[in-house]
Amino acid sequence: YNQKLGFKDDRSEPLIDLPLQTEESFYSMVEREREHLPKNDYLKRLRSGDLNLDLRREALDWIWKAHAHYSFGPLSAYLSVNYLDRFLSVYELPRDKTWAAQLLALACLSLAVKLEETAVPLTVNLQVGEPKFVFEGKTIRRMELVVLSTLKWKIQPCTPWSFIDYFLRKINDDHQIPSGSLITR
Amino acid sequence: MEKYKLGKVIGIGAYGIVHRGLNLETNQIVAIKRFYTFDCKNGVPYTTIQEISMLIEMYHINIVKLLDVISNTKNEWYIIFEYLDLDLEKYMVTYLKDSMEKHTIKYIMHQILSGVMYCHKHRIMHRDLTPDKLLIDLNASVVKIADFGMARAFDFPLRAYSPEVVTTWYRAPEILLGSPVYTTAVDVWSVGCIFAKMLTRQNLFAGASKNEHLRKIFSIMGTPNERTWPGVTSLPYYPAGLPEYYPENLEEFFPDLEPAGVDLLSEMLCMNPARRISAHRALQHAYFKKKKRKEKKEKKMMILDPIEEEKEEEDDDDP
Repeated sequence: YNQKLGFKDDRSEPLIDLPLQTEESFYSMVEREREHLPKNDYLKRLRSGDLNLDLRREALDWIWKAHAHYSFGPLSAYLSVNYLDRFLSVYELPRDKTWAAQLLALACLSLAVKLEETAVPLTVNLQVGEPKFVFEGKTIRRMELVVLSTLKWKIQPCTPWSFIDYFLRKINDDHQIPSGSLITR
Repeated sequence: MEKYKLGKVIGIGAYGIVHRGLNLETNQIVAIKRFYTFDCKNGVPYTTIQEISMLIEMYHINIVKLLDVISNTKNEWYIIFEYLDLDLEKYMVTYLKDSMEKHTIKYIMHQILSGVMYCHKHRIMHRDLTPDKLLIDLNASVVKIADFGMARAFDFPLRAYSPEVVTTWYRAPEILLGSPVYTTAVDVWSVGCIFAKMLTRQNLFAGASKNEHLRKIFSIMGTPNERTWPGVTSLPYYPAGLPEYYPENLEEFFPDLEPAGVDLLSEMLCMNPARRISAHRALQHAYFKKKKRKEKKEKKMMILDPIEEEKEEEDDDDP
Protein backbone atom coordinates (compact mmCIF):
# COMPACT_ATOMS: atom_id res chain seq x y z
CA TYR A 1 0.00 0.00 0.00
CA ASN A 2 2.80 2.34 0.90
CA GLN A 3 4.14 1.78 -2.57
CA LYS A 4 1.48 4.09 -3.93
CA LEU A 5 2.57 6.97 -1.78
CA GLY A 6 5.39 8.15 -3.92
CA PHE A 7 7.47 9.44 -1.06
CA LYS A 8 8.03 5.99 0.35
CA ASP A 9 11.52 5.75 -1.04
CA ASP A 10 12.66 9.06 0.28
CA ARG A 11 10.50 9.25 3.34
CA SER A 12 13.49 9.64 5.59
CA GLU A 13 14.65 12.59 3.53
CA PRO A 14 13.39 15.32 5.86
CA LEU A 15 15.13 13.50 8.67
CA ILE A 16 18.61 13.10 7.25
CA ASP A 17 18.65 16.84 6.80
CA LEU A 18 18.85 17.18 10.56
CA PRO A 19 22.13 18.04 12.24
CA LEU A 20 22.26 14.64 13.85
CA GLN A 21 25.95 14.08 14.01
CA THR A 22 27.68 17.36 14.60
CA GLU A 23 30.63 17.64 16.95
CA GLU A 24 28.30 19.33 19.40
CA SER A 25 25.85 16.49 19.46
CA PHE A 26 28.75 14.07 19.81
CA TYR A 27 29.84 15.77 23.01
CA SER A 28 26.30 15.86 24.26
CA MET A 29 26.06 12.13 23.59
CA VAL A 30 29.19 11.54 25.66
CA GLU A 31 27.67 13.65 28.43
CA ARG A 32 24.37 11.85 28.18
CA GLU A 33 26.00 8.45 28.23
CA ARG A 34 27.20 9.14 31.75
CA GLU A 35 23.66 9.79 32.94
CA HIS A 36 22.63 6.32 31.92
CA LEU A 37 25.25 4.21 33.66
CA PRO A 38 25.00 2.23 36.91
CA LYS A 39 26.44 3.89 40.00
CA ASN A 40 30.23 3.98 40.16
CA ASP A 41 30.60 1.40 42.89
CA TYR A 42 28.31 -1.13 41.20
CA LEU A 43 31.04 -3.33 39.76
CA LYS A 44 32.98 -3.34 43.00
CA ARG A 45 29.91 -4.32 44.97
CA LEU A 46 29.11 -7.14 42.56
CA ARG A 47 32.67 -8.48 42.80
CA SER A 48 32.88 -8.24 46.55
CA GLY A 49 29.66 -10.17 46.97
CA ASP A 50 27.91 -7.18 48.49
CA LEU A 51 25.44 -7.59 45.64
CA ASN A 52 24.28 -11.02 44.61
CA LEU A 53 26.04 -11.88 41.37
CA ASP A 54 24.05 -15.09 40.90
CA LEU A 55 20.82 -13.17 41.07
CA ARG A 56 22.00 -10.96 38.26
CA ARG A 57 23.18 -13.94 36.24
CA GLU A 58 19.81 -15.65 36.60
CA ALA A 59 17.98 -12.51 35.60
CA LEU A 60 20.17 -12.11 32.51
CA ASP A 61 19.79 -15.77 31.58
CA TRP A 62 16.04 -15.39 31.56
CA ILE A 63 16.20 -12.16 29.57
CA TRP A 64 18.31 -13.87 26.86
CA LYS A 65 15.84 -16.73 26.76
CA ALA A 66 12.74 -14.58 26.31
CA HIS A 67 14.64 -12.31 23.96
CA ALA A 68 15.60 -15.23 21.72
CA HIS A 69 12.12 -16.70 21.91
CA TYR A 70 10.62 -13.57 20.35
CA SER A 71 13.64 -12.81 18.13
CA PHE A 72 13.85 -9.25 19.43
CA GLY A 73 16.57 -6.94 18.13
CA PRO A 74 19.95 -6.42 19.79
CA LEU A 75 19.03 -2.99 21.14
CA SER A 76 16.22 -4.48 23.24
CA ALA A 77 18.71 -6.77 24.94
CA TYR A 78 21.12 -3.91 25.51
CA LEU A 79 18.41 -1.72 27.01
CA SER A 80 17.07 -4.47 29.30
CA VAL A 81 20.50 -5.07 30.78
CA ASN A 82 21.13 -1.35 31.09
CA TYR A 83 17.92 -0.92 33.10
CA LEU A 84 18.63 -3.99 35.20
CA ASP A 85 22.15 -2.92 36.17
CA ARG A 86 21.18 0.66 36.85
CA PHE A 87 18.28 -0.47 38.96
CA LEU A 88 20.35 -2.94 40.98
CA SER A 89 23.03 -0.32 41.58
CA VAL A 90 20.60 1.93 43.46
CA TYR A 91 17.80 -0.29 44.69
CA GLU A 92 18.11 -3.01 47.30
CA LEU A 93 16.06 -6.04 46.26
CA PRO A 94 14.83 -8.15 49.19
CA ARG A 95 17.44 -10.91 49.46
CA ASP A 96 15.15 -13.64 50.65
CA LYS A 97 12.64 -13.15 47.87
CA THR A 98 13.99 -14.87 44.77
CA TRP A 99 10.92 -13.93 42.77
CA ALA A 100 11.91 -10.28 42.98
CA ALA A 101 14.80 -10.69 40.57
CA GLN A 102 12.57 -12.48 38.09
CA LEU A 103 9.97 -9.73 38.32
CA LEU A 104 12.67 -7.12 37.82
CA ALA A 105 14.07 -8.91 34.76
CA LEU A 106 10.57 -9.13 33.35
CA ALA A 107 9.85 -5.43 33.89
CA CYS A 108 13.17 -4.42 32.33
CA LEU A 109 12.62 -6.53 29.24
CA SER A 110 9.06 -5.33 28.95
CA LEU A 111 10.07 -1.67 29.05
CA ALA A 112 12.88 -2.24 26.58
CA VAL A 113 10.73 -3.95 23.98
CA LYS A 114 7.94 -1.39 24.31
CA LEU A 115 10.45 1.29 23.56
CA GLU A 116 12.32 -0.48 20.84
CA GLU A 117 10.32 -3.18 19.08
CA THR A 118 7.60 -2.58 16.52
CA ALA A 119 5.75 -5.82 17.25
CA VAL A 120 5.32 -6.10 21.00
CA PRO A 121 3.60 -9.11 22.60
CA LEU A 122 1.27 -8.58 25.54
CA THR A 123 3.38 -7.93 28.61
CA VAL A 124 2.06 -11.00 30.45
CA ASN A 125 2.97 -13.15 27.46
CA LEU A 126 6.62 -12.20 27.76
CA GLN A 127 6.90 -14.83 30.49
CA VAL A 128 8.30 -17.65 28.38
CA GLY A 129 11.13 -20.13 28.95
CA GLU A 130 9.54 -21.73 32.00
CA PRO A 131 10.34 -19.10 34.58
CA LYS A 132 10.08 -20.20 38.21
CA PHE A 133 7.48 -17.53 38.91
CA VAL A 134 4.71 -16.15 36.76
CA PHE A 135 3.20 -12.77 37.49
CA GLU A 136 -0.11 -11.07 36.87
CA GLY A 137 -0.41 -8.04 34.65
CA LYS A 138 -0.99 -5.60 37.45
CA THR A 139 2.07 -6.84 39.37
CA ILE A 140 4.23 -6.34 36.29
CA ARG A 141 2.80 -2.89 35.75
CA ARG A 142 3.57 -1.97 39.34
CA MET A 143 7.15 -3.17 38.88
CA GLU A 144 7.46 -1.26 35.59
CA LEU A 145 6.50 1.89 37.42
CA VAL A 146 9.00 1.16 40.21
CA VAL A 147 11.74 0.72 37.60
CA LEU A 148 10.67 3.83 35.70
CA SER A 149 10.66 6.03 38.75
CA THR A 150 13.91 4.55 40.09
CA LEU A 151 15.56 5.30 36.75
CA LYS A 152 13.81 8.69 36.80
CA TRP A 153 12.22 7.78 33.46
CA LYS A 154 15.61 8.16 31.79
CA ILE A 155 15.29 5.05 29.74
CA GLN A 156 16.62 6.22 26.40
CA PRO A 157 20.35 5.93 26.92
CA CYS A 158 23.05 6.61 24.41
CA THR A 159 24.14 3.21 23.23
CA PRO A 160 27.05 2.00 21.12
CA TRP A 161 24.63 2.28 18.22
CA SER A 162 24.26 5.99 18.83
CA PHE A 163 27.95 6.44 18.20
CA ILE A 164 28.24 4.24 15.13
CA ASP A 165 27.00 6.87 12.70
CA TYR A 166 29.36 9.45 14.03
CA PHE A 167 32.41 7.25 13.68
CA LEU A 168 31.29 5.86 10.34
CA ARG A 169 31.18 9.38 9.04
CA LYS A 170 34.54 10.24 10.58
CA ILE A 171 36.28 7.37 8.84
CA ASN A 172 34.56 8.41 5.62
CA ASP A 173 36.18 11.84 5.69
CA ASP A 174 33.01 13.49 6.91
CA HIS A 175 31.08 12.57 3.82
CA GLN A 176 27.42 12.01 4.44
CA ILE A 177 26.84 8.29 4.56
CA PRO A 178 23.85 6.99 2.63
CA SER A 179 20.64 7.06 4.62
CA GLY A 180 20.33 3.30 4.33
CA SER A 181 23.04 2.90 6.90
CA LEU A 182 21.43 5.22 9.40
CA ILE A 183 20.79 3.24 12.50
CA THR A 184 17.98 4.00 14.85
CA ARG A 185 19.03 5.55 18.12
CA MET B 1 1.29 13.76 45.24
CA GLU B 2 1.54 15.39 48.68
CA LYS B 3 3.97 17.84 47.15
CA TYR B 4 1.36 19.30 44.82
CA LYS B 5 -2.07 20.80 45.16
CA LEU B 6 -4.49 20.23 42.28
CA GLY B 7 -6.27 23.34 41.08
CA LYS B 8 -8.91 23.95 38.44
CA VAL B 9 -9.07 21.95 35.24
CA ILE B 10 -7.44 23.76 32.32
CA GLY B 11 -7.69 21.10 29.63
CA ILE B 12 -9.22 17.75 28.81
CA GLY B 13 -7.87 15.34 26.25
CA ALA B 14 -8.01 11.74 25.14
CA TYR B 15 -5.06 10.89 27.37
CA GLY B 16 -6.26 12.53 30.57
CA ILE B 17 -6.99 15.82 32.30
CA VAL B 18 -4.78 18.86 32.81
CA HIS B 19 -5.03 20.86 36.01
CA ARG B 20 -3.45 24.01 37.20
CA GLY B 21 -1.54 23.16 40.33
CA LEU B 22 0.78 24.39 42.99
CA ASN B 23 4.06 22.95 44.19
CA LEU B 24 3.56 23.30 47.94
CA GLU B 25 7.30 23.23 48.62
CA THR B 26 8.37 25.94 46.21
CA ASN B 27 5.08 27.78 45.63
CA GLN B 28 5.70 27.37 41.93
CA ILE B 29 2.58 27.24 39.78
CA VAL B 30 2.61 24.16 37.60
CA ALA B 31 0.46 22.32 35.09
CA ILE B 32 -0.49 18.81 36.20
CA LYS B 33 -1.49 16.21 33.66
CA ARG B 34 -3.50 13.43 35.20
CA PHE B 35 -3.63 10.24 33.18
CA TYR B 36 -6.45 7.81 32.94
CA THR B 37 -5.48 4.41 34.25
CA PHE B 38 -4.59 1.82 31.72
CA ASP B 39 -5.19 -1.76 30.71
CA CYS B 40 -3.68 -4.26 33.10
CA LYS B 41 -2.48 -7.02 30.83
CA ASN B 42 -0.15 -4.75 29.02
CA GLY B 43 1.48 -2.78 31.79
CA VAL B 44 2.33 0.87 31.14
CA PRO B 45 1.34 1.71 27.53
CA TYR B 46 4.26 2.06 25.15
CA THR B 47 3.04 5.43 23.88
CA THR B 48 3.26 6.78 27.40
CA ILE B 49 6.66 5.25 28.01
CA GLN B 50 7.98 6.76 24.81
CA GLU B 51 6.44 10.16 25.35
CA ILE B 52 7.58 10.67 28.92
CA SER B 53 11.02 9.20 28.49
CA MET B 54 11.56 11.52 25.53
CA LEU B 55 10.24 14.63 27.21
CA ILE B 56 12.06 14.09 30.47
CA GLU B 57 15.39 14.44 28.76
CA MET B 58 14.49 17.42 26.61
CA TYR B 59 16.26 20.49 27.79
CA HIS B 60 15.56 23.44 25.56
CA ILE B 61 14.63 26.99 26.33
CA ASN B 62 11.83 26.88 23.75
CA ILE B 63 10.20 23.76 25.09
CA VAL B 64 8.08 23.62 28.20
CA LYS B 65 9.95 21.71 30.85
CA LEU B 66 8.63 18.46 32.22
CA LEU B 67 9.38 18.79 35.90
CA ASP B 68 8.30 15.56 37.46
CA VAL B 69 6.46 12.30 36.98
CA ILE B 70 4.56 10.96 39.94
CA SER B 71 2.67 7.73 40.34
CA ASN B 72 0.85 6.54 43.43
CA THR B 73 -0.10 3.11 44.72
CA LYS B 74 -3.50 3.33 43.07
CA ASN B 75 -1.72 3.37 39.72
CA GLU B 76 -2.84 6.88 39.06
CA TRP B 77 -0.14 9.06 37.80
CA TYR B 78 0.69 12.59 36.96
CA ILE B 79 3.09 14.58 34.87
CA ILE B 80 4.14 17.96 36.22
CA PHE B 81 5.01 20.70 33.72
CA GLU B 82 6.08 24.27 34.17
CA TYR B 83 3.10 26.55 33.74
CA LEU B 84 2.74 29.81 31.85
CA ASP B 85 -0.60 31.51 31.54
CA LEU B 86 -0.10 33.45 28.33
CA ASP B 87 -0.20 31.71 24.98
CA LEU B 88 0.45 33.08 21.51
CA GLU B 89 -3.26 33.18 20.71
CA LYS B 90 -3.98 35.38 23.72
CA TYR B 91 -0.79 37.36 23.20
CA MET B 92 -1.86 38.34 19.70
CA VAL B 93 -5.15 39.65 21.04
CA THR B 94 -3.90 41.29 24.23
CA TYR B 95 -0.75 42.86 22.82
CA LEU B 96 -2.15 43.69 19.44
CA LYS B 97 0.39 46.32 18.49
CA ASP B 98 3.53 44.69 19.93
CA SER B 99 2.71 41.39 18.39
CA MET B 100 2.36 42.94 14.93
CA GLU B 101 5.89 44.38 15.01
CA LYS B 102 7.93 42.90 12.20
CA HIS B 103 10.81 42.24 14.48
CA THR B 104 8.66 40.59 17.12
CA ILE B 105 7.17 38.24 14.57
CA LYS B 106 10.62 37.33 13.30
CA TYR B 107 11.86 36.76 16.82
CA ILE B 108 8.92 34.59 17.77
CA MET B 109 9.21 32.57 14.57
CA HIS B 110 12.88 32.00 15.28
CA GLN B 111 12.11 30.67 18.73
CA ILE B 112 9.30 28.41 17.57
CA LEU B 113 11.52 26.95 14.85
CA SER B 114 14.37 26.45 17.33
CA GLY B 115 12.08 24.46 19.60
CA VAL B 116 10.69 22.49 16.67
CA MET B 117 14.18 21.73 15.41
CA TYR B 118 15.18 20.47 18.83
CA CYS B 119 12.15 18.17 18.90
CA HIS B 120 12.86 16.83 15.45
CA LYS B 121 16.50 16.31 16.30
CA HIS B 122 15.36 14.22 19.24
CA ARG B 123 13.00 12.34 17.01
CA ILE B 124 9.81 13.84 18.32
CA MET B 125 7.03 15.22 16.17
CA HIS B 126 4.66 17.56 17.92
CA ARG B 127 1.89 17.02 15.36
CA ASP B 128 -0.43 19.59 16.88
CA LEU B 129 1.25 22.99 16.75
CA THR B 130 -1.25 25.82 17.06
CA PRO B 131 -0.94 29.31 18.57
CA ASP B 132 -2.60 28.19 21.81
CA LYS B 133 0.07 25.53 22.29
CA LEU B 134 2.84 28.09 22.22
CA LEU B 135 3.30 29.63 25.64
CA ILE B 136 4.85 33.01 26.20
CA ASP B 137 6.88 34.19 29.13
CA LEU B 138 6.77 37.95 28.76
CA ASN B 139 9.30 38.62 31.52
CA ALA B 140 11.93 36.42 30.02
CA SER B 141 10.79 37.07 26.44
CA VAL B 142 10.68 33.41 25.66
CA VAL B 143 8.29 31.31 23.61
CA LYS B 144 7.85 27.71 24.67
CA ILE B 145 6.25 24.83 22.84
CA ALA B 146 3.79 23.04 25.08
CA ASP B 147 1.23 20.29 25.07
CA PHE B 148 2.87 17.24 23.70
CA GLY B 149 -0.33 15.30 24.26
CA MET B 150 -0.41 14.44 20.58
CA ALA B 151 3.31 14.24 20.18
CA ARG B 152 4.77 11.10 18.93
CA ALA B 153 8.21 9.63 18.99
CA PHE B 154 9.18 8.52 15.54
CA ASP B 155 11.51 5.89 14.27
CA PHE B 156 13.09 4.74 11.07
CA PRO B 157 11.19 3.46 9.28
CA LEU B 158 8.30 5.74 10.08
CA ARG B 159 5.23 3.84 11.09
CA ALA B 160 1.69 4.55 10.07
CA TYR B 161 0.04 7.10 12.33
CA SER B 162 -3.51 7.96 13.19
CA PRO B 163 -4.89 10.41 10.63
CA GLU B 164 -6.82 12.83 12.82
CA VAL B 165 -4.20 14.63 14.83
CA VAL B 166 -3.52 18.25 14.02
CA THR B 167 -6.13 20.86 14.84
CA THR B 168 -7.82 21.94 11.64
CA TRP B 169 -6.46 25.02 9.83
CA TYR B 170 -2.90 24.24 10.91
CA ARG B 171 -3.12 20.75 9.52
CA ALA B 172 -0.68 19.76 6.78
CA PRO B 173 -2.14 18.71 3.41
CA GLU B 174 -0.65 15.21 3.62
CA ILE B 175 -2.70 14.60 6.77
CA LEU B 176 -5.84 16.08 5.24
CA LEU B 177 -5.35 13.87 2.20
CA GLY B 178 -5.15 10.82 4.43
CA SER B 179 -1.52 9.83 3.96
CA PRO B 180 -0.89 6.99 6.41
CA VAL B 181 2.76 7.90 6.78
CA TYR B 182 4.01 11.34 7.54
CA THR B 183 7.09 13.07 8.75
CA THR B 184 8.40 15.99 10.75
CA ALA B 185 7.31 18.14 7.81
CA VAL B 186 3.78 18.27 9.30
CA ASP B 187 5.12 20.49 12.09
CA VAL B 188 6.82 22.85 9.64
CA TRP B 189 3.53 23.33 7.78
CA SER B 190 1.82 24.22 11.06
CA VAL B 191 4.54 26.73 11.88
CA GLY B 192 4.03 28.24 8.41
CA CYS B 193 0.32 28.67 9.16
CA ILE B 194 1.16 30.27 12.50
CA PHE B 195 3.56 32.63 10.70
CA ALA B 196 0.76 33.65 8.33
CA LYS B 197 -1.64 34.14 11.21
CA MET B 198 0.81 36.39 13.03
CA LEU B 199 1.29 38.53 9.95
CA THR B 200 -2.34 39.13 9.10
CA ARG B 201 -4.34 37.84 12.09
CA GLN B 202 -6.26 35.74 9.62
CA ASN B 203 -6.08 32.02 9.13
CA LEU B 204 -4.68 31.67 5.64
CA PHE B 205 -6.42 28.35 5.08
CA ALA B 206 -9.66 28.58 7.01
CA GLY B 207 -12.39 26.26 5.86
CA ALA B 208 -15.55 25.03 7.57
CA SER B 209 -15.10 21.44 6.44
CA LYS B 210 -12.14 19.33 5.46
CA ASN B 211 -12.95 19.64 1.77
CA GLU B 212 -13.45 23.36 2.09
CA HIS B 213 -10.11 23.54 3.87
CA LEU B 214 -8.37 21.54 1.14
CA ARG B 215 -9.96 23.64 -1.58
CA LYS B 216 -8.71 26.76 0.19
CA ILE B 217 -5.17 25.39 0.39
CA PHE B 218 -5.22 24.32 -3.26
CA SER B 219 -6.63 27.66 -4.39
CA ILE B 220 -3.66 29.49 -2.86
CA MET B 221 -0.80 27.01 -3.12
CA GLY B 222 -1.98 25.40 -6.36
CA THR B 223 -3.60 22.02 -6.91
CA PRO B 224 -0.90 19.38 -6.41
CA ASN B 225 -0.35 16.83 -9.15
CA GLU B 226 1.91 13.87 -9.84
CA ARG B 227 4.60 16.20 -11.14
CA THR B 228 4.75 18.52 -8.13
CA TRP B 229 4.04 15.80 -5.60
CA PRO B 230 4.54 12.23 -6.81
CA GLY B 231 1.92 9.90 -5.36
CA VAL B 232 -0.49 12.62 -4.30
CA THR B 233 -3.34 11.56 -6.57
CA SER B 234 -3.48 8.10 -5.03
CA LEU B 235 -3.81 9.37 -1.47
CA PRO B 236 -7.12 8.23 0.09
CA TYR B 237 -8.81 11.63 0.29
CA TYR B 238 -7.47 13.21 -2.86
CA PRO B 239 -10.57 15.07 -3.97
CA ALA B 240 -11.96 14.38 -7.38
CA GLY B 241 -13.30 17.23 -9.47
CA LEU B 242 -11.48 20.13 -7.89
CA PRO B 243 -10.38 22.77 -10.34
CA GLU B 244 -6.73 22.93 -11.39
CA TYR B 245 -5.68 25.93 -9.35
CA TYR B 246 -2.41 27.63 -10.13
CA PRO B 247 -0.28 28.75 -7.21
CA GLU B 248 -1.01 32.32 -6.17
CA ASN B 249 1.72 34.83 -5.53
CA LEU B 250 2.04 34.84 -1.74
CA GLU B 251 3.40 38.40 -1.84
CA GLU B 252 -0.10 39.63 -2.57
CA PHE B 253 -1.39 38.09 0.62
CA PHE B 254 1.41 39.56 2.73
CA PRO B 255 2.18 42.98 1.26
CA ASP B 256 4.08 44.12 4.37
CA LEU B 257 6.34 41.10 4.57
CA GLU B 258 9.90 41.45 3.30
CA PRO B 259 10.77 39.29 0.25
CA ALA B 260 12.92 36.89 2.30
CA GLY B 261 9.95 36.31 4.61
CA VAL B 262 7.66 35.57 1.70
CA ASP B 263 10.22 33.13 0.38
CA LEU B 264 10.54 31.34 3.72
CA LEU B 265 6.78 31.18 4.13
CA SER B 266 6.35 29.65 0.70
CA GLU B 267 9.01 27.05 1.50
CA MET B 268 7.28 26.16 4.75
CA LEU B 269 3.96 25.88 2.96
CA CYS B 270 5.34 23.69 0.20
CA MET B 271 2.60 21.17 -0.57
CA ASN B 272 4.92 18.23 -1.13
CA PRO B 273 6.18 17.22 2.32
CA ALA B 274 9.37 15.74 0.87
CA ARG B 275 10.27 19.13 -0.57
CA ARG B 276 9.10 21.25 2.35
CA ILE B 277 11.89 23.08 4.16
CA SER B 278 13.06 21.51 7.41
CA ALA B 279 13.11 23.44 10.68
CA HIS B 280 16.89 23.24 10.60
CA ARG B 281 17.14 24.79 7.13
CA ALA B 282 14.43 27.32 7.90
CA LEU B 283 16.55 28.68 10.75
CA GLN B 284 19.38 29.29 8.29
CA HIS B 285 17.08 31.09 5.88
CA ALA B 286 17.94 34.61 4.77
CA TYR B 287 14.85 35.90 6.60
CA PHE B 288 16.66 35.37 9.89
CA LYS B 289 19.95 36.91 8.84
CA LYS B 290 20.23 40.34 10.30
CA LYS B 291 20.73 43.06 7.75
CA LYS B 292 23.82 45.04 8.59
CA ARG B 293 23.22 48.57 9.86
CA LYS B 294 19.96 48.92 8.00
CA GLU B 295 17.64 47.81 10.76
CA LYS B 296 19.73 49.14 13.59
CA LYS B 297 17.51 52.11 14.12
CA GLU B 298 14.39 50.07 14.27
CA LYS B 299 12.52 50.39 17.50
CA LYS B 300 14.20 48.35 20.16
CA MET B 301 12.35 45.18 20.75
CA MET B 302 11.05 44.20 24.10
CA ILE B 303 13.04 41.06 23.74
CA LEU B 304 16.70 40.32 23.27
CA ASP B 305 17.74 39.52 19.79
CA PRO B 306 19.12 36.06 19.15
CA ILE B 307 19.34 36.34 15.42
CA GLU B 308 22.84 35.95 14.18
CA GLU B 309 24.71 38.64 12.40
CA GLU B 310 24.83 38.03 8.71
CA LYS B 311 27.90 36.04 7.95
CA GLU B 312 30.33 37.10 5.27
CA GLU B 313 29.69 33.95 3.37
CA GLU B 314 26.35 32.29 3.20
CA ASP B 315 26.10 28.96 4.93
CA ASP B 316 26.21 26.09 2.58
CA ASP B 317 22.65 24.97 2.36
CA ASP B 318 23.37 21.39 1.45
CA PRO B 319 23.84 19.15 4.42
